[in-house]
Amino acid sequence: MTMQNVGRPTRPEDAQPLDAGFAALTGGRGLLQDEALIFERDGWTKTGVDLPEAEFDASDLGDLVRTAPIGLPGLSEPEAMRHYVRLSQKNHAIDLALYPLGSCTMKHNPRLNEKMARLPGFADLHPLAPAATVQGALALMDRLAHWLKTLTGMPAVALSPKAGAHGELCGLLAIRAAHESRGDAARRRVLVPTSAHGTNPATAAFVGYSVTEIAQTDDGRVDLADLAAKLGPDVAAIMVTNPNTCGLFERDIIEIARLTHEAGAYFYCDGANFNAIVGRVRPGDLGVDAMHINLHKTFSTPHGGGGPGAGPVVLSEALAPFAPAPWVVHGSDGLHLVEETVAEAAQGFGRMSAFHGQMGMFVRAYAYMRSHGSDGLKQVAEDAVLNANYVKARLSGVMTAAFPDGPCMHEALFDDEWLEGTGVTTLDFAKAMIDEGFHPMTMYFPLVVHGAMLIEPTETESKQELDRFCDALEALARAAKAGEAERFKGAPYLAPMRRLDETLAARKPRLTWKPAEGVAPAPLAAE
Amino acid sequence: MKGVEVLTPRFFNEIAVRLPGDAARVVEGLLDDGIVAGVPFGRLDPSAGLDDVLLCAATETTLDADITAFAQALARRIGQ
Repeated sequence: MTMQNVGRPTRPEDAQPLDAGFAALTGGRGLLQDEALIFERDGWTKTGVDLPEAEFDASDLGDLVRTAPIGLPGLSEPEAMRHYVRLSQKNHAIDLALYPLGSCTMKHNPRLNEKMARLPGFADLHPLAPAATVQGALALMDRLAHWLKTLTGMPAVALSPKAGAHGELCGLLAIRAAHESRGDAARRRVLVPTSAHGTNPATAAFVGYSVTEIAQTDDGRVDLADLAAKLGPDVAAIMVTNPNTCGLFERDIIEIARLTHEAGAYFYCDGANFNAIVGRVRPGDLGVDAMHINLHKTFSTPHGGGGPGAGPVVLSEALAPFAPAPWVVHGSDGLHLVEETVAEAAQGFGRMSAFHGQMGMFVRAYAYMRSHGSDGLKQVAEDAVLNANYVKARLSGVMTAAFPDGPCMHEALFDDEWLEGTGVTTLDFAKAMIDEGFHPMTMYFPLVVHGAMLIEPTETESKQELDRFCDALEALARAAKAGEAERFKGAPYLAPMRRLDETLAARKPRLTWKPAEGVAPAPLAAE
Repeated sequence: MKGVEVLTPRFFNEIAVRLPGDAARVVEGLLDDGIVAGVPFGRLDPSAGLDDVLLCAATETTLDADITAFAQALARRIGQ
């Protein structure tokens, strides 16, 4: 035992059994206190702020004047601070540990990006400020667009979509506008591979298309023969992810594009996995017509709590005239925004959002690009692929790779064949990872692989961290095979919450708070 | 102010005013005075025919001195 560990049994061999034989009397775990909802705290009789009496003529409000108390919880500053910090401690975050969710590209969010995004010249802008006062911000948008176009080999980009799926919607709306501009109303179908992200068919359906599945080959790629058979004069587009959700490069991508264009359809590429090829492959060279780029994946902006994402869409020559506003143009007196789809922009299909997009994410993504440079971005892709193959190679000794032949791209995909006869499922295994200090990988996706476990380590994890992760999974795998099913069936044991009924939570979500019967909080004193 | 018509007699934090001319030009001119006067309505809806309308807002950080400076600069710009 090293000096630093004296008195502190921190090594695996020193670990105590999971079950102490009793539960905490308060619901706490270690120093993590149980935390009630803010509405369920005793905050109804006080307030943490001291506002002066408002001076206004209430008669201006007519019959809109509030007559009942508003019913907001009142907490002092330390109470409010502790409430939210405690909640944050119940979340996993990329700043805490490796976050191996496949298809999510949970890479480190560099602090430099945050510093740049907080510069007042970017952070304190209003989207309706006169263009003459925000030339720097417009220049940043213009340069970001230049980098995105250069990296993808595409001539146009719409910056305003605010997420991957929002980008898909933007791409398909541009495709629909292009068909409609030719008077081609017969194209009502979109082809989507069976391994696609669920957002692809959802987007197609939202735009009004019906969806036809393309079969997958045994080695996890698009079945070319099936694609050719399903293409026709009623197909508007195909939506293909490359590398695909099995973590594999679509070897026939150029032929896929050729067949698609031959049928008069457009090729939408789901760019969620662009991190695996950035700097090495330009989708425009592959025949792609539209592709969204998740700035919150490839370009290291935060995923946040479901947002804000940013999903700019690059467009081919054929689709560029249909791009949504706004975009930046160069004028004799500086940069301007084209904000209306009129005159020379009349073919644009409209807008994807009220303003220009997620400016804070634009700054972060541009800072990331500039700090890496073109050579650095190429290394990003190379290291991401190397790390995924390292994980695949290490874990293939105890788990079954879904596609064992050949290397993978940026994510390693395993099935649950290796769990057969253990009584342990993919879900059980994932939950047991939490007890070992690791966030689970993506589970049961892609759907085409039974009991799928999709691991995307990203390029920002060190070999040491990957080894810690693989050591933990190997140990768990050995435990599963040794018959220790109970370790898994009840997991997680050590998390603030134990195994939750995720189906019930998804099917019957409780999205609003209502006071329990008989314990309604005392309302704040009415004025 | 002569020539300026307040279009929103009831309001919370912002008012729409009609100016004797193009609001975008006024906003552009007031930048030289260090004032971002508001949003020309024509930018929000170019087809509405309200190019002479300006949307102005104030927050709790806006001082009396700011409002006075804005009013004086606006008066100069519209020739009052």
